Amino acid sequence: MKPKIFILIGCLVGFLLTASVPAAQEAPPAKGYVGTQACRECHAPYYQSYIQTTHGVKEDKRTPEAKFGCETCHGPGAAHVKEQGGEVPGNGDSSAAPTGSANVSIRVLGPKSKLSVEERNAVCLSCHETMTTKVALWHGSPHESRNLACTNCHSVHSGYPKNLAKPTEVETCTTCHQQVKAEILKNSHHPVREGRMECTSCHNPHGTVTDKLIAANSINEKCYECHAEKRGPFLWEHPPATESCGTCHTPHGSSHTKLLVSKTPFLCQSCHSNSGHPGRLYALNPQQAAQGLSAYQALNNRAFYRNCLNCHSQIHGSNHPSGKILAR
Amino acid sequence: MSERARILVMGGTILLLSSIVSYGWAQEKEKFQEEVKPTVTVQTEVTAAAVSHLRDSAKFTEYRAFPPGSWGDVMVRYRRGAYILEALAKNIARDDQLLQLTSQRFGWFKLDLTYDKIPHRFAFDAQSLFSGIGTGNLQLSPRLQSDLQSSRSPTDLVSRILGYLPGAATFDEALFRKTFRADLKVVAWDPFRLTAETRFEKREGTRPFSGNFGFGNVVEIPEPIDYDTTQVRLAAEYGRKPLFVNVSYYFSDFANNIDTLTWANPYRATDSTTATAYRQSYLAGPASGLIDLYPNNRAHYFSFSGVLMDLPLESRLSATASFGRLTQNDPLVPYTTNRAIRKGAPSRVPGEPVPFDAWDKASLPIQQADLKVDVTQLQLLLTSKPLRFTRLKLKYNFYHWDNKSEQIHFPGRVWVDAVWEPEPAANIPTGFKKNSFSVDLGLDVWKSTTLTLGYRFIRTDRVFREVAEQDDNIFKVALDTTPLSWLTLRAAYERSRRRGEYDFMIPFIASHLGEEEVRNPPQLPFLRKYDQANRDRDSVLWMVSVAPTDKLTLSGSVVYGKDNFRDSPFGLLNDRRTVYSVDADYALTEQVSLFAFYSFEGYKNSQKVRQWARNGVGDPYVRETGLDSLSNWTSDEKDKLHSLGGGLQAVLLKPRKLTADVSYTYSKSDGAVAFVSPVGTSANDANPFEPVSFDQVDDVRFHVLNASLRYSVTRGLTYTLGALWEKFRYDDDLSTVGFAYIPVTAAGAFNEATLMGTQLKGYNVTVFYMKVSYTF
Repeated sequence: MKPKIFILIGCLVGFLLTASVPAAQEAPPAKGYVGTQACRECHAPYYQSYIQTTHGVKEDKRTPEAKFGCETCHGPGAAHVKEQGGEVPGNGDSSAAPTGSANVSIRVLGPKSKLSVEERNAVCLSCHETMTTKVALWHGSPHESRNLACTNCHSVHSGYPKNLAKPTEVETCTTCHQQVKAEILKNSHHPVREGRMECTSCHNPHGTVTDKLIAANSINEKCYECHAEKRGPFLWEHPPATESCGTCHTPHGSSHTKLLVSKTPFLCQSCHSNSGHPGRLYALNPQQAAQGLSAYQALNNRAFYRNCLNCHSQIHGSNHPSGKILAR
Repeated sequence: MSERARILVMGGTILLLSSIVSYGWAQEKEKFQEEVKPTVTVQTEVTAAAVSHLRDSAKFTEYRAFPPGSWGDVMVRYRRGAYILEALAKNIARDDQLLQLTSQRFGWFKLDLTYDKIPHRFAFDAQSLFSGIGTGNLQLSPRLQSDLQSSRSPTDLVSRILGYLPGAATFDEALFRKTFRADLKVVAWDPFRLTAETRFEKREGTRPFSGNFGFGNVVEIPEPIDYDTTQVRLAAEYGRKPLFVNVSYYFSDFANNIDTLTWANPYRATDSTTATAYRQSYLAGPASGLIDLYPNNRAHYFSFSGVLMDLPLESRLSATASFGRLTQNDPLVPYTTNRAIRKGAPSRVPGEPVPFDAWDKASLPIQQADLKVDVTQLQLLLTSKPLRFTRLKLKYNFYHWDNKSEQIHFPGRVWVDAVWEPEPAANIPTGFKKNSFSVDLGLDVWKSTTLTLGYRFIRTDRVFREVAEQDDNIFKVALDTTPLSWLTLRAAYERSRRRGEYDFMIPFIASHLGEEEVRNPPQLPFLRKYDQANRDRDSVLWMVSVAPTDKLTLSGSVVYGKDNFRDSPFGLLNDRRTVYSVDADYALTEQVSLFAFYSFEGYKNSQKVRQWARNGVGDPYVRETGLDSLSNWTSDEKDKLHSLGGGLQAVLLKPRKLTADVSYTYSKSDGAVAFVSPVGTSANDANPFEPVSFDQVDDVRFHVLNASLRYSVTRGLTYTLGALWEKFRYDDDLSTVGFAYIPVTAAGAFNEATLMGTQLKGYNVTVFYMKVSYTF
C-alpha cells in the first residue's frame, strides 16, 4: 500500500469537514403550477407513495419535491385542476404557458401514457442523465435502442426498492428476459434466486461500454471483481479463459456443474484432440454395458466425476514451474 | 497488501466514515433543532423454524442458511429532517447474515457500511483420510503410506486401502465469503460529486479439489481457501448539461494466505522415480504432491468517461478510456517435492538423465513470476437524430489485453511429481486486441414502431494463438412496436460471420521457441478450437406482451440460436439452442391474483474427435493423414429443460388483514450424449467398439413449494405461518455417489481414486416456520 492512498483519504476528510453546505432553496412560485398539496387532495395514495421515496425529499435540492413537487415530472397542473381532472391535451412542456394553452397538460408517465417513449424518457433524463455515471450512457444503449421507457422498469409510486416497477430486480428484468427466469432455477447458478446477488451485480441496464450491458470494461474484468484469484496473470495461461470466461461458462445458470456451457469431458474435448487420452472416446463399450456396469464404474478416471479436472485441476492457469499442462 | 497496511486502511476508513456520520448528524441537529422533531422507527422480526432432513445434502443450503431454531431481523431508523441513520440486521447469527448501517443526509452525502456473509456449501459429512484439513499441508499416517507402498498388485492395494476407510475423518466442505463494504457518495457540491467505495472480502473454508499422482492415482483432497481481496474505487464526477465527466481509479489486491498445498501420497511413503513412473503410484513416484495455489495478484485501473450533450441534430458524443495494469510476482515453487528427482536420476527419456536437483528451487531459471499485463480500453459513441424519424448510432471500441510478461525457457518439467520430462518449453504470454466499429440506424416507421438496422465489424488480433487475425461481420435487424397500448411486439434477427486463418502450429512454435520437436505436435491438425474457429451464427428473438384488460397480462418469447462451425472438420461442429417461454399474470378479483409461467429450453451440439496416439493408430501425421479414420468419433449432446411455476396471492380478510401466498416451481433437465464411431479392429481403430450412449447427463428434478399465511393483528404486529418444501434429485452417468475408493475394474480401467463423498446429492427438505413482525 502506497502512502498516496492515505494522502488522498486525508485530503478527502479535510475537504469534507471544511466545506460549507448549501441550504436547500425554496422553489420559486410559477404560473400554471398548483403545488403538491393540490395534487394530494385527489391523488392521496400517489402522493403518499411518492413522498416516501428519495424523490419526495424536499431538503435535497436535486429532487422533484425541491422544485415543483408532483408537477416537476407530471407538468403544471392548473389546467388539469380547472378541468377537474383528466389528461389535458398538449405536449406537457413544464416551461410552457399555463391555463388555456395547448401546451398545458398533465403528463401520465406510466404504462397508460399517451406520450411517446422518447417524451416520457426525456422527463426522467432531464435530471438523471447527468446525475450519475450509471445513466450517462443511456443514449445508444441496447434498451434505449429497443424503445424501452424508463417506466417499463421503474415506477416512482411503486414503493419498491430503487423505484422498480416490481418488488425485485430479478422480477423486473425477467419480465422480458424470460429465459433468464428459467436459467436461475438450474442446478448450477449464481446466488441470485437466494437473493444474494442481483442482476445489477453484473449488469448496468442503463448502458455500458461492454456488450450484454456488462458493468465493466470486459466480461472477465467483471468476473474478476468477485473471483480475483482467477485474474492472474499466470505463468501458464489457459488462453481461452484469458480471452473470455464466457468461452466455457454461462453465467445465468447451467445444468452442468460450475456453470459450464457443456458437460465435461466433452467440453474440453471440443478443443483438445491431442495424442493420447485427450481425444479418447469416453463411452461404454457393449461388453461393459452387458455387464451392467455404470459409466463411472467402467470408465477410467479421466472420464468419471470431475473427469479432465481430476488431474488438470489448475484449469484457470498455473504458476507452478511444472504446470504447463495445468495439473500442478 | 500487508497486514499492517490493511489494518491502516481499515482503521483510516472507519475513522473517516465516523467523522462524516458525526458531522452530518451534528449539522442536521443544529439546523433543525427547533423545527423538526426526530422520528425513530423500529421494525423487528423473529422467525422460528423446524427443518426436516436438513443434512441430506449441502445443496439445499448451498448459498443460504436455514437452521432449525430461531433467528431475527431488526431495522432501526432515526430521522431528523434530511438526516437519516438506519441500522439493519438480517438473519442475525445465521451463516448468511447481513448487517448494514446507512447514514445519509439528503443532498449532502450517503454512507453505507455493510457486512455480508454468504456461504457456498459443497458437501456435508465429507470424508478424508488426511489430517490437517483446512491447512496447506495434508498429512497421512506413515503406517498407511508404508502399507500401501508394499502392495503387491492393484488388487492387493484395493484390499489394503479399504481397511483404512472406516477411520476417515468427517467434515463439511464449505466456503464463506465475509465482505465488509464501505460506500460513500458525496453530492453536497452538485454538480460535482465524489464517490469512494472500499470492499474487503475474506473467503475461508475448504472446497473439493483434485490432487493426482498420474493416470491411476487420483486423490480427492480438500483445497484450503484463505483469500483476502481488497478493492478500492474512487471517483469524481461532474454532471450538468451539456457535459458529464467521470474520472475514477480502481485498485484490487488479491492475497492468498495459503499459496501452496502439499498432500501426502496415500500410495507411497518414500520418494522414488523411474522412467516408467507413469504407472500405479505404489510402484514408483513421490511421497507427496505439491500444487501452487492461486498466486497473489494486483490490478490498477484509471478510467475516464465523458458525455457531451445538446450537440446539433440532437447529437451526443460520449467517450470512455481506461488504462489498467495487472501484475503478479509470486515466488515460484520448485519443480517438485520429490527428492529422488535429483541430478543424474533417470528421466522419462532414456539417456537423458535429470540435469539438476529438481526439488531444489535454485534449479529454476527464475525465482519470481514477475508477470505483467496492460489493459487499454477506449470507446467513442455518437448518437444523433439527423432526421425527425431517424436515430443514428456510431460506435468505435478498442480493447487491448497486452501481455508484457517475459517468456521463460524451462528445460523440462516434472510430471505430477513423479518423473522428469526433458522437453524444453516456454510459457506463452498470450494477448489479444479487439477493434470494433458499429453503426445502427433506427427508423420510426410508424407510430410507436421502430425498425433498427445495424452492422458491426470486429477485428481481433491475437498473440501466440492459432488465429492471429480474425474478422467478425455482424448484421442485425430489429423491430419494436407498441401499436396498441396493450400490445407490444419485439423481434430481432442477427447474423454474424467470423473468419480467420487458422494455424494450429502457432502456440507450439511459441512454446518451443522454434525447436524441432514441434514438427509433429500432439494436436490433431484438423481440429479447430471453437472460440477461434470460423463460425456462422444466426439468432432470432421474438417477444410479445399483451395486456387485453387491466387484470390480465400475457407475454411470450421465442429465442433461437445456431452456431455453425462450417470450416471445422474436427472440434465443435455446431451448437443450437431453442427457448420458448410464456408468462401470465391475472388479477382474478381485487383480492386474488394469479401467476404462471412455463419455459422450454433445448440445447444441442455436435462434435467430432479422433482418438489417436503418436506413431500409432489414427496418427494424422504418419499413418492416417486424411480426414477419414476408423478412430474418429462424434458425440451429439442434448439437453432439454422444462421450467414451470405458478401461484396465487389472496387477501382473505380485508383490508389485507389476512393474506395467503402460495407458489410452486418445477424444473427438470434431461441430458444425453449419443456417440457414433465406425468399428474396426485394434490394428486400425483406436476405439474398436460400437459405443453405448449416456442417457443420464446432469439430469435434475427440482420442486419448490412455498406457502404462507399472514395475519396482521394490528398495524404494527403481524404473524406469518409458512411452509417450504423442496425436493432435488440428481442423476448422472459419470458420477459416483459417496465416499469411496474406486478400484481398478475388471476391464482394466485405471480408476484408482480415493473420493471424499462430495458429489452432488439429492434432498427432500420440509421447513415449517412462524414469523412475528412488530413495527413501532
